Amino acid sequence: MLRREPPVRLDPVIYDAWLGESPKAIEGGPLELVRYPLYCGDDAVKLDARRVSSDILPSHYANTLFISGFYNEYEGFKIYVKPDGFDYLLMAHQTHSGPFRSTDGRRFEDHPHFHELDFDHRMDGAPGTRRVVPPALGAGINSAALLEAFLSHYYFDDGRDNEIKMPRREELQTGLEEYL
Amino acid sequence: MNKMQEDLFLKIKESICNGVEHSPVRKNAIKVATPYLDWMGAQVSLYITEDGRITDGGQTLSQINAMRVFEDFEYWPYKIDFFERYNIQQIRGSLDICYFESPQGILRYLQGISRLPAFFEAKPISNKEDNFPQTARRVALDALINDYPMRPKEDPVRWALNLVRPRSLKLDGITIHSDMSPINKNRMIQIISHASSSMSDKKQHLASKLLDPLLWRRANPQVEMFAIIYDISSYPTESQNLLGQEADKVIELKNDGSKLEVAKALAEA
Repeated sequence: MLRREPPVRLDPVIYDAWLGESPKAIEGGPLELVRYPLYCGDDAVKLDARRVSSDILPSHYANTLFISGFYNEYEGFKIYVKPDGFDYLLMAHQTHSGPFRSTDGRRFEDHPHFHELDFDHRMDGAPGTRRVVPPALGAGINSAALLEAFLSHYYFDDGRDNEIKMPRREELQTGLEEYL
Repeated sequence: MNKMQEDLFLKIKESICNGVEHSPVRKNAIKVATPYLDWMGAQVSLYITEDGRITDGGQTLSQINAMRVFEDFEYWPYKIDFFERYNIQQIRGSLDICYFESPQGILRYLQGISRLPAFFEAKPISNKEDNFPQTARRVALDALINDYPMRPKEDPVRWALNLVRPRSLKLDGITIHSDMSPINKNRMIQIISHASSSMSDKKQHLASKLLDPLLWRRANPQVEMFAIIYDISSYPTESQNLLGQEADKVIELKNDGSKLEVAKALAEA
């Protein structure tokens, strides 16, 4: 009897086909950005992990794939799609520290961008990174716009029919604390 | 060490040293990126603030939170030992370095923050589950930590987590469950979910949620039951009437201000 599952390899052709897979269904209803409770800033949001299904990826990847988003005080909001227990397949970053060149040859200093695996430019066998900046990624966009652009660029479908909004901050009227 | 070993050693040393870069980020901090990869295959980085703090920028706990395993982390039995071993101190939402006098201490810190999320298995939301109980707990946690004016100054996160945990009580051989753990020991909080199920399922679910408070009231007439529900009007009329009759308070999360009501139900006697 095999002690381990047979090895699985993500072929570059399969990866590119997955990028174009439409729709990539996100389970559990429309995505929602929620306030990240451990930070006070208005831009401190998170995206709770959701299962993503795929008909194209090998089952080892497809069965454990999820999307999630987290906050970093110095770099803003980041989104990733990864199989549980393995490295990311896609990421989106609200900022970038240092200059970079996008896949269409443009040069940016600090700009929202997506990370894809680059099987054509490997580093010692491992896939490199290519950075994609579609037109929807304007400089200084908020987390909701980043998520919206990410979902639309990679054909993720969460069943929504309206725009993703930043979470509303409920404010207390000041001066009433002693009565509460 | 022979010549070949020495060449390879120097190559490794050089590649590690050359792989460390710094760049400016928000709030006048600098980001120090290392050649190592973290639990999700991204570069491990730390941040040095303008006042000389070495921190992860809150990223590690935010990841754990978004993986929906924050409670597992808070009650992880190895947490204190892990923080000590990897030179980490938690300052509210961020994981900062504890001692930075020695290079080894900094390397241990880097390893710690990069490894930590991998100890927890993500619990992504899937189609198979009813998310409302998690939503209600998240709303309560957020309100207690951020909005409730009388939250404790010291470790409000742990205080809030203790209040939103389920509670069980042994009673004449049976176990009574409350979906949260309010400070008032005679209070029970039941989360009414299944809003997207069939009418008969909703009816059955709501009736089952009222059974535990009924049993507990037999033994202790002082017991009060608060219900948290998204929108009571989406349940059968018979269930609405039953809930109105049995619950001492029904908090509908669709209403403005309901978050604070939940926090008060949990934190006040």
